[in-house]
Amino acid sequence: MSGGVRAAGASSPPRQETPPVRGALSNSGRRIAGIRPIGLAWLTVLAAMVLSVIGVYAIHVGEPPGSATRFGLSSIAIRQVVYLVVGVCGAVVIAIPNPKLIRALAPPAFVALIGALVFLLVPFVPEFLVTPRNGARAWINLGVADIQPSELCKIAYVLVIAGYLRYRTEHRTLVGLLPLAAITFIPIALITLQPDLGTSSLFVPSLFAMVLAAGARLRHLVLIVACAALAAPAAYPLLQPHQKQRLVAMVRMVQGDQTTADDINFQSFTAQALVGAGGTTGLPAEKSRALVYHTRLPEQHNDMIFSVIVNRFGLVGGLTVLGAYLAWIVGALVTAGHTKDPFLRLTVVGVTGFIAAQMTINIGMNIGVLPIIGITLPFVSYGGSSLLTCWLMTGLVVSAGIRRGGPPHRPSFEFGDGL
Amino acid sequence: MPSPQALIPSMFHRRLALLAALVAISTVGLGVQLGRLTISQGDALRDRAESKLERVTWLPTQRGRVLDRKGRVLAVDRPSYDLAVDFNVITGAWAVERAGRYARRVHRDEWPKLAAQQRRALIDRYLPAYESHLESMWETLAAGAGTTPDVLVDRRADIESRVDRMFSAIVRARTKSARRAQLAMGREITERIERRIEEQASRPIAEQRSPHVIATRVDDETGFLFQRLLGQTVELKPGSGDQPTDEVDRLPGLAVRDAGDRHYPFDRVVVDVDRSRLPSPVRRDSTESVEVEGVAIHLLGWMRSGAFAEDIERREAFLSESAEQASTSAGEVLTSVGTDRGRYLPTDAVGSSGLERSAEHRLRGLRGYERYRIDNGSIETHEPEPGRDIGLTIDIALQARIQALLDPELGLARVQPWHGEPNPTMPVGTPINGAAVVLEIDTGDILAMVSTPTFSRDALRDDPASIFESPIARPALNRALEVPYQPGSIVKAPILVAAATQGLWQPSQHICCTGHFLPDRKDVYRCWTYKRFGNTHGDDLTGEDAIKVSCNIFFYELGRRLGARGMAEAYAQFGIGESFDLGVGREFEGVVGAFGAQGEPGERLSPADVIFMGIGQGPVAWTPLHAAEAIAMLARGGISIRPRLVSDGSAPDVREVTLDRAAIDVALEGLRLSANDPRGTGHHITLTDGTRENIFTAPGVSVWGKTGTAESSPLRADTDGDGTIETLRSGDHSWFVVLVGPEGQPPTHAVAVIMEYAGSGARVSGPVTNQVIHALIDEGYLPDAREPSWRAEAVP
Repeated sequence: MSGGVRAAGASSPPRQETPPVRGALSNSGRRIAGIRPIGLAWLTVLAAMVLSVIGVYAIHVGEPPGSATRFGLSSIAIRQVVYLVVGVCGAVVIAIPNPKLIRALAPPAFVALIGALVFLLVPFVPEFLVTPRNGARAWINLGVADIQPSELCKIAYVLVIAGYLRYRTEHRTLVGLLPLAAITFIPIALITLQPDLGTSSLFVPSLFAMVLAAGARLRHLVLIVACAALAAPAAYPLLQPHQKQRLVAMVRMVQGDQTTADDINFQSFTAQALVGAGGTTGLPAEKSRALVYHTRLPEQHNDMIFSVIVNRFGLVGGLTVLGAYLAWIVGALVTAGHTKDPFLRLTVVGVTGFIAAQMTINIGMNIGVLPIIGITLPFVSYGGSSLLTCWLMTGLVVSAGIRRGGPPHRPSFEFGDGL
Repeated sequence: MPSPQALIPSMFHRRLALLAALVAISTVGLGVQLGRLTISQGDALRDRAESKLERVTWLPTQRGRVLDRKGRVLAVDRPSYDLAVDFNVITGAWAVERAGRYARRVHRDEWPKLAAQQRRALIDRYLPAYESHLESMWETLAAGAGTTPDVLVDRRADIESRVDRMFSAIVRARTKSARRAQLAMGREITERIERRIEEQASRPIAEQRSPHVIATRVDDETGFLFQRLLGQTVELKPGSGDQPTDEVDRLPGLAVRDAGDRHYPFDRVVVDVDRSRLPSPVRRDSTESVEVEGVAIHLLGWMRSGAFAEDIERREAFLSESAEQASTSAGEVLTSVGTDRGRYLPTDAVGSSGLERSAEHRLRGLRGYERYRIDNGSIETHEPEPGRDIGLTIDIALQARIQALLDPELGLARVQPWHGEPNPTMPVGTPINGAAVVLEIDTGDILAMVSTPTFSRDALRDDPASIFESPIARPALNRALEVPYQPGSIVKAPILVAAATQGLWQPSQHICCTGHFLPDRKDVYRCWTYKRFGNTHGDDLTGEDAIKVSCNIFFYELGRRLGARGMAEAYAQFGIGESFDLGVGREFEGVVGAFGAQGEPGERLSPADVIFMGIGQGPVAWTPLHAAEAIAMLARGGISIRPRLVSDGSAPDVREVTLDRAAIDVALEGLRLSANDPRGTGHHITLTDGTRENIFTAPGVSVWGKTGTAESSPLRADTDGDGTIETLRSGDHSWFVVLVGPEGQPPTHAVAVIMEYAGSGARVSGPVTNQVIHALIDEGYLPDAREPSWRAEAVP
């Protein structure tokens, strides 16, 4: 087919004459009632389990020296194990149903979660229902547990966008990207108002990955990124004072200013010190625990858990974590490549975007190349909602992995022009 | 190279590969930074992190001692103690708390059912016993601290007031900070949040939970006594009848802390003075004990509590220039994390003046420290390094004797009728301020440097105004070193030698004393004898005679011959313009020409100036130390040895000055005649009844000397603040310089004495100088052919 000249606004995809894809990304394997063996999605599951186990141990190390333990783990680590079990169960639950059902449920779920996000912002909601934590109204207390709607909203969002894009071509035009922007703006705005800038900032990379995979023109995407970069300074006045402080603090730190090590940049300098102290192979467990405790590292179970891992296991541990994330991402992308269902393709790409962005930003925070914006490390940081969401995302990858062959689908996202 | 489309035909797959590449690139970037932190910066970051695992406790050190030339301790750290009491005892809250505890114990069953008012009533019932116990404790503390309970009441009130002010300020600051933090997170300050902020802000501060010093610097014995009492308990009976007793600490909340202060054992000395050796008008056939205070205070200086910013800057400059001098051994000045072990803490004592200040870094010492590792419980101890001792060339006993001589009560340092023409600014009986310097000729060691009046350290603490604001006495001034005086006639011997050295006079030349230097003017440039008596010294004066009789005309002539440049060079040869850098404070370097004059030597001297300078008048000024060294140079045959005060084992700083040897012999002969020939100006004093008494009375010694009566600028000040400058003192300064040694041998010591505005050199400074020679004999520097009778004792 010649390079992409077609009437604008065409709703049906051009007829593809390219042969089925073979080579490194070709699939093979037995087929039983549309379900296949998991394929390379096993790599994703394995990586998720490795990261989760590392997370449990790192949470245990982050406890003060001399803390009480049961079964060799501190109580908070035991809770994380419980969350892990719940998460794995959730992954199984979401992997089993037919993707059509999930696709059908996505929009109402998204609307419901948007409603929940609005509910979080309603001022007269009593504190026993919505208890602010660290200054953010992000959790709803259901009695048995607290849920964080923004986490579940990520999944619903990906499903909605994947469902929207699956056979469309409007996104190949600049104007056609506007509806996607509008859909994305709603959760971003609501989550930013909580305020939770960290979570809201993850939606954009996920959208970017999905529209890129869905065939949006590269020059449009580059243009948008360039405009965003140029317009970013204009957004500075809109930031909260503490957010501005953190941004300024990071700039000063990158410039080598150590005078803020004990105030604004305390968290970042302490994290870097712990990372560096780990050296190549890390420190003994008790020493690592003592260091984490006595350096008073904030959020040692959550945002800064990566520095605990590197302090304990050194460069080797840090590279292992990075390797595990790469394995998760590669497994997911290969699974997406093997899958023919466009909905599942984009779903996998979307969740991969979230995981990759979150991982990059969190680790970047811990090693001093990005400002502290309150983002957890996927699979590793303490927290039921976060862990459940990550395993649900893994479950979606597994769902794509076991359904990569059929039912037969029209070729999707093949526009034959350019990269 | 094949295109991406050829490599990966599917666009979707190409896009997936692009996404994978982006992730890979960012992951590699993260990996690189991770490697940088763990490998390149790992050691430094580990040190930074591990510094949090250490708790450092500093161990006090001891300041170095200052010793005199015979090893007597002049300054030493003396251990002492501070008594500190917990804040809740100071406020009395302890009593309420203990009474409450007792009440709860005694009424255990009914207590939970009682209302607050009922509980309070029970507490009040038992309170008096505890309050009485506290009163008894305060009385005990007051007695131990050598003060009264009322004084402790005042101190407690001060402490309470200070801590309350501190607490209020901290609560305000905490509240403000908490409110700001809430607003920064976009949260509204509700009533609930406001209450929580107030609760948090009102938590006790450290000062409300810690002891405060109630008595400082109690002696060892008292400190030990209180330490023994710590931990002892007594039984109180707050209740009545069968109610139980309550065991409480004998001295609740008391802590005994090591303090330490700087002790100067010879600050007060009692000197027994044999009055039978004084001039007859003040002679007694008895020994008088004279107590002198502040002995050598101008030299030793004093300490103050608390470092100023300038002290910290000096320390940093010292460290950067010569860190190795800060330690007595191979020990480290800095800890492993770069902390200066000698750094100033807020309550540290610091040398404030004199040698305590100039030698601060040598004396200070280095603290020790214990580094405790939290993770493994290890303790690493670095012992403190005491400061280095400093040895002085001063003989403190000699110093004390000379200071006693200058006590106005003895009579020599008080205007006497025989001193000469009455001085309206200094009637008979007025104390005379002065100074005396004693040098050891062979080494340049300063054996004594006395300036009077002096002052005690107690007065410095209690009444500093009397020291720094007294317009006449000015006790803070070191008159031996920092006050400029015109030399007067004592400079004639050096001028003679300088003129000869410059080839302007030969010993064979005789000069005629015409009574007035200018033939046509009888009112200026006169010889003193012409001025007073209308006669002259004759027309055939040798150099020796000119010095002996102190002929002005002779030296006007030499001045004229020297000229401006020669005169400037002459004075420079004898040390004017050089600072001695003794490290005891300000020094006057001596000046030729107007103060602050720049340019070539003698550039601004007029012919008239130069003539006067031949007799030590005009635009020239020096100090008693310059005078002693100048005359000592003559004794050494032209060798200058920089006077020194600190004995550090180094060789004397010697400089050979080319002087005419024959002229030196003439000058020395002139000085000998001056002191020993009945016609010499330094031979005798004439009393009011016309009788004469020899000035120098010590047998077994030889004396060479010269008097000086130097016209001087009056002392003026506005003492009553009305804007009118009054003349406080006017008149001539009285000088006497001598060389003295065992009889028949070369001189061993040089002495310079000045008595401000006192007039005649012979009549006033002469007897003082004689007593200085006696003091040298008493301390063994000169042979004693007298009947022994003097002793100096240190006050216990």
